[in-house]
Amino acid sequence: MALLQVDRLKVDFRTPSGSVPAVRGIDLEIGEGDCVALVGESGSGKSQALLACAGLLAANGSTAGSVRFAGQEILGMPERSLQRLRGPGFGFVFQDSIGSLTPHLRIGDQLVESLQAHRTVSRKVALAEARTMLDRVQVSDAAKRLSQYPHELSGGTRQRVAIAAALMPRPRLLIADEPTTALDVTVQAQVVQLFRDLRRELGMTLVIVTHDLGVVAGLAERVIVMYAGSIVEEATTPVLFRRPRHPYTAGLLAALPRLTDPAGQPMRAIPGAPPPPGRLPPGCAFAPRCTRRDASCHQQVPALAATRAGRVACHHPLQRSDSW
Amino acid sequence: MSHVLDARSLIVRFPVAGAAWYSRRWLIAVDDVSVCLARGETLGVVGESGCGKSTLGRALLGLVPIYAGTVRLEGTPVDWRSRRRVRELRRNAQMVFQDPSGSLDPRRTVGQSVAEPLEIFEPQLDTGTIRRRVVATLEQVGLSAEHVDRYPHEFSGGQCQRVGIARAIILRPALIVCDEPVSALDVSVQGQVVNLLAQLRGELGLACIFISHNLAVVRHLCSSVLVMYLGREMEQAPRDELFDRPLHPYTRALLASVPPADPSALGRAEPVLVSGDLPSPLDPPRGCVFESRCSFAESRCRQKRPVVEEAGPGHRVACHRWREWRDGPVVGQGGN
Repeated sequence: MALLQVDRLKVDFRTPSGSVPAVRGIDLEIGEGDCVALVGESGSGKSQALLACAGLLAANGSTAGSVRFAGQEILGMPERSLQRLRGPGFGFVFQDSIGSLTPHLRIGDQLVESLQAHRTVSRKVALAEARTMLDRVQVSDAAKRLSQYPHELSGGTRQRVAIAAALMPRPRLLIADEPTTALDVTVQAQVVQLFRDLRRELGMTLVIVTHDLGVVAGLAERVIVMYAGSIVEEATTPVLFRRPRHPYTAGLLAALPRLTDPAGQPMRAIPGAPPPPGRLPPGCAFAPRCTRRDASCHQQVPALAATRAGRVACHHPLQRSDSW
Repeated sequence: MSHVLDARSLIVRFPVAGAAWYSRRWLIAVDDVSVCLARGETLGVVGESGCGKSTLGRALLGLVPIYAGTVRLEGTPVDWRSRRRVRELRRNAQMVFQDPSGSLDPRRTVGQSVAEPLEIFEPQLDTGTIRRRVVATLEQVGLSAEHVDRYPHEFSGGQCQRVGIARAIILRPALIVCDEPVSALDVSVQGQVVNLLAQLRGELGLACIFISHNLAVVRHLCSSVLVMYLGREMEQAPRDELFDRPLHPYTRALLASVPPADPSALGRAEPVLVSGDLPSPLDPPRGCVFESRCSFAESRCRQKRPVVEEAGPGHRVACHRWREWRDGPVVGQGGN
């Protein structure tokens, strides 16, 4: 049985100008021990989909469909049961590490709190565990950090502390929403390495939400690509990078700047811009930017069909012979 | 050789808030940095947050006061005390900001925002001429006449950035400073804006300073690169020289940190060339500023600040041990 099973999940937001769809019916399955990346540009619905899975949507959001965590239905679950599930069930790491730590609590207190919210342990035991956890996420000087405040730490250390706080109750699933985006490149590389180490040591199930295919390549085993609220492609990481089937995935990969590109040459880009949620074109949402479109793409929404290595939603997916 | 921009030994410092006047401390944001740029050239300025790259760009346009050093624009030294001379500088050197929609006034149409520099610097122009110049400039950045009367909120991030570029080039400046112009944009759109800058550079003979933390993007656009760390110049070289033969350990660490976007590296440990975080700029290491994170630091690195040396034509490096890296095999270079 999958650890997280999502069926036809829809997320809508009520706004003064009407209801805006953010996620438009997605299915996905995360097994125990998997490391999956959810990739998309801003507004693709990747973050909202996962927030909905954890019952963390903003107050004007509403959901439809089904999200089952270890067999239990999450959507519509009362807040108290959700609260019990959150720590030991799933942990969250956010992009903004300063915003996810409480500014007036010492690091030690925050870590103790995150454990005591879910387990009855003495402060002493909890503090000892906090220290071990800081060592585990490779925070230098763990003993000293326990008595420091978030603003005294650098961005990279703060993100490690946020990861430690999420890991304290030993969650079965860790969801990281753009965990490296706000960090400098040198620190980014360190945090990606940390996630790799943690997965090896703890066998943790990890879902990482990001727009950065470079981070995905070195970390995830499977990639799910979203565009305008829908899944457009899913494949194992090596297959996705070598043989993308959806023209959007191929476009994203081509647009990714790499040090191996010929120097001084123009960059590749996808023409146009992603459609704003609520103003989607009819048919395939990517059609207006797609080079492979024809009349059928503007009329009919392509269904997500199984491929050898995953799924793709396209009327004219790239074939083996196509170059991209 | 005539340069559009020739800045020598720039120092920018800010007073640290909270200190009393008799114990005033200074944060040196830019410490003895020199840059030089000819027509049609683009200099990439890279480094991590807090390295002073944005401050350098702002200082060159007089947006923050320069404490020491000289700036020459098209051969004439800029006298920061003369309002008239600074005004002339502003006409000739413009800026493109990171946040595309934040840098446009939400209550003015795109046409009004783009026209503003013209209204200030060429007040004799009549409305018709201004509108024609605005439309021509919008077309130059890939927008069209129908966009003139629209408001910023109707545009995507990429389009807003095009408007920002249009406003910067409408006065035909000799130099534009672009401060992280694509980092707030979606990956699929970044290339459009970088290619636009490359095209304008060719058409208008612009000299361009491109501030970025992304070395892979810099490699596409720039003719030379300056690497900064804690306000200091670490290495400066023509593009191919810097990417193919980096001499400074920090440059190599930056190059190795760029994710390779290659799943064959999945799960394989990358050599992490740089550990820890940036030290506080208020209390930088005494010798070489990179010493605390450098895997090759030795005792002289802790004691003596390395001077910027000429390692080859146009290749400047500030490292005590650069000769070893030039002669010996490059140790531990990975990731690219």
